[in-house]
Amino acid sequence: MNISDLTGRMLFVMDFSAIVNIKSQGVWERLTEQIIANKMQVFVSKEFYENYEVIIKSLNEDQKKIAKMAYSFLEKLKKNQLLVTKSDILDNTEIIEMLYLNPNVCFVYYCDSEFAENVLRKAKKPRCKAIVVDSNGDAIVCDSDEIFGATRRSIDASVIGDGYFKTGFEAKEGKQVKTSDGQVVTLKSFIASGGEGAVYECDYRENYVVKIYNDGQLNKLRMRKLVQMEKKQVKYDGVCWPEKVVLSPEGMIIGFLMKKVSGKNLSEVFDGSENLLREFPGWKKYDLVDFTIKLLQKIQYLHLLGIIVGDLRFKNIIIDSKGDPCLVDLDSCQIRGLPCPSGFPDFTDPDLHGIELMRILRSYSNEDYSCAVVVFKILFCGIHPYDQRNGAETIEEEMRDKRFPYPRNSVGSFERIPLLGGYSSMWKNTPDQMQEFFYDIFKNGTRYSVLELILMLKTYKKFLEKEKHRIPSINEILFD
Amino acid sequence: MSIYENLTAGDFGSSTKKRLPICFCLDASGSMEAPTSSGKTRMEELNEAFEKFIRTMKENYEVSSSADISIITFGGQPHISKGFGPISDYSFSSIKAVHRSFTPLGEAIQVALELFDVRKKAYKDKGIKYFQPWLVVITDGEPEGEEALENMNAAIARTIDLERNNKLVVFNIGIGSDANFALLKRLSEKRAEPIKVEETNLDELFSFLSASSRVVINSGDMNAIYSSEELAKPEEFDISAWNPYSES
Repeated sequence: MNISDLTGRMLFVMDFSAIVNIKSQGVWERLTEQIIANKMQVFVSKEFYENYEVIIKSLNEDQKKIAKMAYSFLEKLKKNQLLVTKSDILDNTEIIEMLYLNPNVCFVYYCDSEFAENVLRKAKKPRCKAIVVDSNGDAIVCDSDEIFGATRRSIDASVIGDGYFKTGFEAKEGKQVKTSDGQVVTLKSFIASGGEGAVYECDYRENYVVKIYNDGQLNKLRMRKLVQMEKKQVKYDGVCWPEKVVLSPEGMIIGFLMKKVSGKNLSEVFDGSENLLREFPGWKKYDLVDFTIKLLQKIQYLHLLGIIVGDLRFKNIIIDSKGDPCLVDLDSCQIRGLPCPSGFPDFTDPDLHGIELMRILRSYSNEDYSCAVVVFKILFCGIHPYDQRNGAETIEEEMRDKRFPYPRNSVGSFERIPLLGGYSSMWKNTPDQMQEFFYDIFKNGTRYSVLELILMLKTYKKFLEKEKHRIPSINEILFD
Repeated sequence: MSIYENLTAGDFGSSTKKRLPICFCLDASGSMEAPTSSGKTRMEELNEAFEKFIRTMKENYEVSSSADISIITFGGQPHISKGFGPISDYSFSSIKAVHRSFTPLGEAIQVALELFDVRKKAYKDKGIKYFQPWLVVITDGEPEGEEALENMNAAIARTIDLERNNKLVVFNIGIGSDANFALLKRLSEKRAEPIKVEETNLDELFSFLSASSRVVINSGDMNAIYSSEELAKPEEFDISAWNPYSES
């Protein structure tokens, strides 16, 4: 099918991921001309505007430009009364369920997006049409029977296994490596090392460092991922992306260049209120909420590009001295059909506990769970939502059984809430709406998308701004 | 008065981390006053290495906020020289050998197991998650004193039972050649041989202990210390036959 085949009174349901990943402005313009010329309608959800706010902070000019075009396009539609919005519909799952059987509807989305995942999950035997932006950024126009083929994502089985490549490269100060476009980079002083590799200062550009994998750590998965990551134009403040592959003098991939990050990981800072206040004296709940929103926006940026962080946990998030977040260790992320093989149970969706992570692709829903844990842990100064008195042997069991110890609307027993650290008071001073929200996530098992989390936290932030003088305790962090 | 009375759970601090309770049972009997080849006594060697260990453990935030330690010395009587508490709050003070005293090893281990019990109950009650405890036994001799052997056998039976049920990790360590390794060996079924260490090389022992605690705390898996030693070496690929740039 072609774009010109989409005629009649079509309703386009536009997901922001399509706009971010489309290759050229030309493709976008052709589509928009078609829509306006035929007076077709476009539906966007409230999420569209939230996503706009996320992408406009991108440091990639192309992404910003396309997003701006999309925005002005919507303004134009609005003027022509072709834009449909419904403020009561928040997430795209609902929209998909409502419209996938309608032949006059066309979904527009990126093939690796959360929207795509929901189409696969919710739209059984669709009768609608779709424009799917593929991994090359081309827009593929699909009739209803072609939708699944263009959307389905599968694991790249050729990279699975324990084998590794011998690099024969021993990293040390003064050694030279090169980028894939031939620029020579000299390793400067050693910064740090871990089980995977070592990080060095280098002369690539100001504020860049180079990570060289240890011999024996380079496997097929890692290598192919590095290539994919270089291709993705991820440029965002607070996202420490493996931007460029580096090669040994013999031309073998051995590591990558990334921006230098300084600060402490969240695990060191968010470890009880006393410790947090030692690191950031004067911080209030408001600051925690604000920090969390900033963090989630960075994760959402990656999601819009089809990237799942995967090993999302406190150790992989840095907080700098100004109190801003930064995502690090992203070389393990899930991109295209390449899985994220690492994870830490406390932050991992219990559906994935006990599963070999190397052999599966994670879903956005899995990541939504991790995000919810991160949000709770930040707002409650480091305590895990399932930490509790007289609990099971392991946190995995509590997570599986959804034994959330905090009572909804503060009605019910506080007996299982951890005794030391003031968590009962912290919970009592959490507004009802937030309590409901956490209760729904950790007790009922409801999943909220990252955007829904952001929207909820923005409401929380406004509430604190408005009420903190009247009820100072809601803004406090430290309780006895 | 029995040492088993007045056992307290100790301090907990305000960290949210999963705790690793470690109890050191350290030999403070007369034999620890023996001079070593370096000119110091065994006790002086132990103190130096132990102090360095505490310092190293405190350097890493994850470890210092997770590790809870207690120290029981045995020379004449078992003595709780430090009750449980976060290692971050502990300032090292040196341990003294008790002149010409016996070695109540089994009794000391039994006190340690009681301390673990009290501590674990308190963790549960307070809602603090924890790793199964580590029992670190360091001796240069063998059990001595009234009913020493009976008490040692009782201690062995209890540690083995706990270890079988994954409720305890045992480090059975003998200093020098006079330690009774046959008896130490019986303290653990999971460790193939007791750990043997030279009296002038105690640093190495404590580096091993702090590295092991890092592995467990960072991986979240108490069995990581056993499995890390026996990982099979994966197959090596030929890079010339494979193209990372091709999409499959």
